[in-house]
Amino acid sequence: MQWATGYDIFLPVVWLLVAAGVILLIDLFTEESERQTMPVFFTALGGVLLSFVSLNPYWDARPVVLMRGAMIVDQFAVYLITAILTGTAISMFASISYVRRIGISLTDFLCTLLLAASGMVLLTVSNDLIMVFLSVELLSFAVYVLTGLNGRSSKGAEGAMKYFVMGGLASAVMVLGMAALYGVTGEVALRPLGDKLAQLYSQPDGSQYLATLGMGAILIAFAFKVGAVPFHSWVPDAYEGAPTTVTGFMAVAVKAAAFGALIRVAVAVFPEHAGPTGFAGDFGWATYALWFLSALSMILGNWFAISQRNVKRMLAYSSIAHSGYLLMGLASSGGRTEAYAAILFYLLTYTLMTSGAFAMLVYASSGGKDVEDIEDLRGLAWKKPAVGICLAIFMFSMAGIPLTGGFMGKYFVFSQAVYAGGPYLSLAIIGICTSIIGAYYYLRVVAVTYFREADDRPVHGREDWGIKFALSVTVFGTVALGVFPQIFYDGAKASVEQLRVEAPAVEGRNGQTSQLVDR
Amino acid sequence: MVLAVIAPALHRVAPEQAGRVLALAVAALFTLFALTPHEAAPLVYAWAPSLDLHVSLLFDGLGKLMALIVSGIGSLILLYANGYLHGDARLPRLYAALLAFMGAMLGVVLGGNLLFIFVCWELTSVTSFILIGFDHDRPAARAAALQALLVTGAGGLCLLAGVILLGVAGGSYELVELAAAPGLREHGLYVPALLLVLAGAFTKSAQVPFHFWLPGAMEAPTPISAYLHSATMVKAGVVLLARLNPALGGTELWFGMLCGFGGATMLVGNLGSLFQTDLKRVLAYSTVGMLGTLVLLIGIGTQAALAACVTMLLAHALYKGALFMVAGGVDHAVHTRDATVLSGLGRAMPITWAAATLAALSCMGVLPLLGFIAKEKSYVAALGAPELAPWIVAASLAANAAAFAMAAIVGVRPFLGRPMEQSEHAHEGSFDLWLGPLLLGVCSLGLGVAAGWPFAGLLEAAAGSVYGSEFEVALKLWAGTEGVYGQALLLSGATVAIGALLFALRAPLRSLAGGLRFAAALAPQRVYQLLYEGSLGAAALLTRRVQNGLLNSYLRTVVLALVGISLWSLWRQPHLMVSFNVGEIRTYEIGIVALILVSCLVAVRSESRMAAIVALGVAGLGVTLLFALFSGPDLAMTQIMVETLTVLLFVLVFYHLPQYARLSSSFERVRDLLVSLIFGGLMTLLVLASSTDILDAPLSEFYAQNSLVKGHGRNVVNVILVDFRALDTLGEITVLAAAAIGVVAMLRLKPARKEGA
Repeated sequence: MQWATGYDIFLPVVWLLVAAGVILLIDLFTEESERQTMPVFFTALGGVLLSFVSLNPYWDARPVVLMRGAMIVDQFAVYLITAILTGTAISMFASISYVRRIGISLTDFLCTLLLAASGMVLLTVSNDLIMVFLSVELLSFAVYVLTGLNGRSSKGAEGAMKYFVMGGLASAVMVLGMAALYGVTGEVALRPLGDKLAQLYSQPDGSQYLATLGMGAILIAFAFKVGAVPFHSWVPDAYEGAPTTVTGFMAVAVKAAAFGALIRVAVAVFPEHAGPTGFAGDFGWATYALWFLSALSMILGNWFAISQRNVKRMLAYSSIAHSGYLLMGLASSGGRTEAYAAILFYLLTYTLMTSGAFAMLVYASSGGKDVEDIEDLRGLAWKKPAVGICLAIFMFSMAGIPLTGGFMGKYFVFSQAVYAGGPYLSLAIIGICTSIIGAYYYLRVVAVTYFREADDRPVHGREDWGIKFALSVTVFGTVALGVFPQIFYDGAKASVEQLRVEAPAVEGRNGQTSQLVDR
Repeated sequence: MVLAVIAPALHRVAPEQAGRVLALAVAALFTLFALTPHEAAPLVYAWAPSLDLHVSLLFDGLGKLMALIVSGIGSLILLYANGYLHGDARLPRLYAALLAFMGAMLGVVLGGNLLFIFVCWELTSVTSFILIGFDHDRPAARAAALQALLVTGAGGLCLLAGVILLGVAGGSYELVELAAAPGLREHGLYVPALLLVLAGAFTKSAQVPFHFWLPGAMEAPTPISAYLHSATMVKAGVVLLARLNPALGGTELWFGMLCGFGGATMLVGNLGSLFQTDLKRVLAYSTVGMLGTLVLLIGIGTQAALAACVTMLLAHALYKGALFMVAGGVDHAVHTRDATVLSGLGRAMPITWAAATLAALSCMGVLPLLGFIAKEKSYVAALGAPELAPWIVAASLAANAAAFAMAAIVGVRPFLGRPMEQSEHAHEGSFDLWLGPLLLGVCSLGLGVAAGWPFAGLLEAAAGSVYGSEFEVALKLWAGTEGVYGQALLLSGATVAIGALLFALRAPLRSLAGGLRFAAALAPQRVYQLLYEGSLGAAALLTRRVQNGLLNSYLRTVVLALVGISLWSLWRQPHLMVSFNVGEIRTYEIGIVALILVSCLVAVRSESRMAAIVALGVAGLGVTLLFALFSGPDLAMTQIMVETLTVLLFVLVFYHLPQYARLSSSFERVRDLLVSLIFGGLMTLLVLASSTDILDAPLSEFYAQNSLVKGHGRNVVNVILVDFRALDTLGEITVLAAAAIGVVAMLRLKPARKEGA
């Protein structure tokens, strides 16, 4: 049947939900025990894999819209979903034995993780304001729970509480903004909304202020979700408090999904939001806002990070700084596909290196105790040379040293900013100065692992095959992105080109819009 | 080729002979380089073509010369390291790092694509970080490694920016294409690009004011200092400038920057070396000075200057490498490097003595050695400088005289005179230790006597590739006494005289400069320290201020940002229509509004949680009443439900919480009040302003009309549930099922197991 073909785009989400449901059932009918681990884990992994496989028809397809344009599946979404699922799978592998070691039920953890992942996948295919909001909430609530999953840790509770309260406010702001936009234009679907707004600004009728307010509020909410300064304050507490693998997941997947949605909204709704002329036109304010968000995130994120002794907090600030680099790409994009492709590429490398770094912290954790102080890592490289090299590669990548994905990402984003010229050149210069600060604290970690005498603390990850697998994948990916950037960049570019393609809308049965996939 | 060099890093199994085998391997590479004829066209391998990233190797004169230096001295250093750190367990690591560094360095000198050069450039920074921090037990070594990395890393990022700008301005990253690009020097981005590239090159090549990291880096074991900090890594900046000379050179800015910084570095480095007593630090300062000279010569940019530059490059690599190795050999033998103590070692260490003498003579620029030719050429170049010639000549004279004295201190003095106490134990090191310096010393002599043969053609080609086109370089030991050559010879004589004087006066000089030197030579060091500690301190302070952990202040940021953006958008609006005409106000409306206001006030002022919750509930009900009155019964129903649930939940949760405590000061309370008032006021304004509504017609008519036509059913509700909204219904069923599972799970929940989820 025709419509059935169209609806298989739900499969990626459905598989995740099914896996979550099966895990719930397993939890319901079996006792919590060591024997539960493998079936539960493989159910979750199976869900992620099936979800990935069900993307297959869309790899080379043209965009498809569904549900009156509320959802869209294009290669942009596919690219992001790949990154998100990768991040999810890596967190799962890293968690196999870690989660139980710190006293959390594996089923609770995996189930919530899958729910969060399904929210993220939905967010990447959302094409109207309501879907955006619903999926943001779905993923956020799952992540709030994940953050506070370790009820015994007071830091976890504090982080989850702060994240929840701030997140609630951000959601309120987002709804306010959406309401304002809907009120002005009577549209919720992104593209018609953008068209109406463009029309409104060219022929003002006295309600533009509401439109500006609406877009500003949505921007604030997204800035909150990606952790950009000054809406970053939840990041350090939540990152520090959450179990380490959750932190990795938050840093990676939440950011990828939120950035994806932000790009989609920005392209559709802020028609001329940036670029060499961006500072002048009616959307100039959006460019200013992005400029400041990016500059502040880069400066403060890096600057705060250098005084941290706690590795997780340091990585939290570093993730703020990375948001700044990504926002630089967005601010200077001017609608150019290369710029969006640069952002996507950066997101992919960021996913790999960051989840790798957090997996590393799990590896180095000893007993039920997380790695806290940077000194806990001293001499790690001599205890486990292979792990030392992995850690060095992740840190080099984050610092942007060549032959790693991090360097390529920085290179792409910076060259886009330089190319845009004008005020973005100053943004690029800020980015470079702050990268120097960044290099300091990343390399300090490497220095501690190599240049300090090892203590006799046991390293726990030794027998943990899940961690080893996660580390191998991320290291391999980080290096591959650095040495062979071409394929990934071209993929990103091809996927971004679809953002502007008008999706063919076929009227299906019952007034629902759906169509066959163009294979 | 580069990979072939890195690969043996893995072969570090055979402990005894590993160093020698590796040295032989690198020597084979050297031979390979030597036998490959140089050519101007680059070899290009596509790496990521659509990103303009190619591995292009430029094996021209300069590339070949540098490749020979890197691999030749590299093989000797490997041998030397084998002797120097004999039996040390960390030796394999040293080999691995050295070889990795060598590979990266070959990439820098042979690279023909700016991005590729940059990649290798950063790799040299990283590997040198590992090498300098090799003695990681000592905090000084760690600090020095970090300092070197920060300075060169910062420069590296500037270089990246400069390279990207150049790529934008010139349309390519290929050196060959950049050199041919028209109008590059007039391009608007030329100045920023040049400044950024220079920042990168100057930090790497230790130019004033970034020179301080190089003496610090002497914390490394001697083989590393000898290799990285005399012959290779610090030359990377010089090589880069030489590479870019055809593309960027020839402007006022280029001349001024290079001559200014190069000249200053030349003076500071060479004179600074006289104030040092540690042999390695003496050599480090003199290296700084030499790098300044090279930069200065590139800056002058005439044919004579570039010929002098490449000759000096070779001469310096030969004698400075040898002197470093000699210093290490002396240290190895008598365990001190203090120039004021060392004396009379000549008899105990004859071979080292010979090597040291040869190298020192070359450094002094004494007649039959290569150093002499280089110095003569540099004087000729200085005399022929297009501008400022007298100044450059005077500076060169001072610098060369200081270099003369320096060479005497390092290469001659320790071996002559009364034997020192420890000299009884002094002994010649192993074959590995003296072969390197001796070979290099002999090369200095041989190349001098043979007037560059067999390297004359290569030097010519190298100078040509720096200049941009081939020209003739006359490499003669004795150039005659006519014209500039006569003046240069005269200057050489003066150099020797002043140098000898300086050497004789070295002790008073040191004491004289005792107080001065920290102020003069170490000032940038202090600036670095201040910057470093200052930014760490400031970061800590700022973090505490901004990231204070108070949810209250975090929330304020979000609210204020929202208010800011709203006010801004309102302010931008030219004709804001705020309608205060809300129609007739009825008395019960006033009553309801008053009820809401009072309960809000109570909620804020209340001393007990319960009272506050109840007051909030009342406010909510007031809003519900308003909805009900203004024809929104469905909304009112929902609102009642939500309000009731919220109050109940609040009560449940807050029941466990302690009593209020007054934690905030009155200032904070006033501030929060202001924020709330602003936010409330803004909302009011928005509501008033947006009272015009544009909403679509209700959906119900659509369903009523289409239920029979499209759904083939007469029961509209049924059709909506199973047809129009089939997915919603499915979703609701799923939600119910999930809720049921949840309830079962809750029922089975064991006590004290988990919370949440």
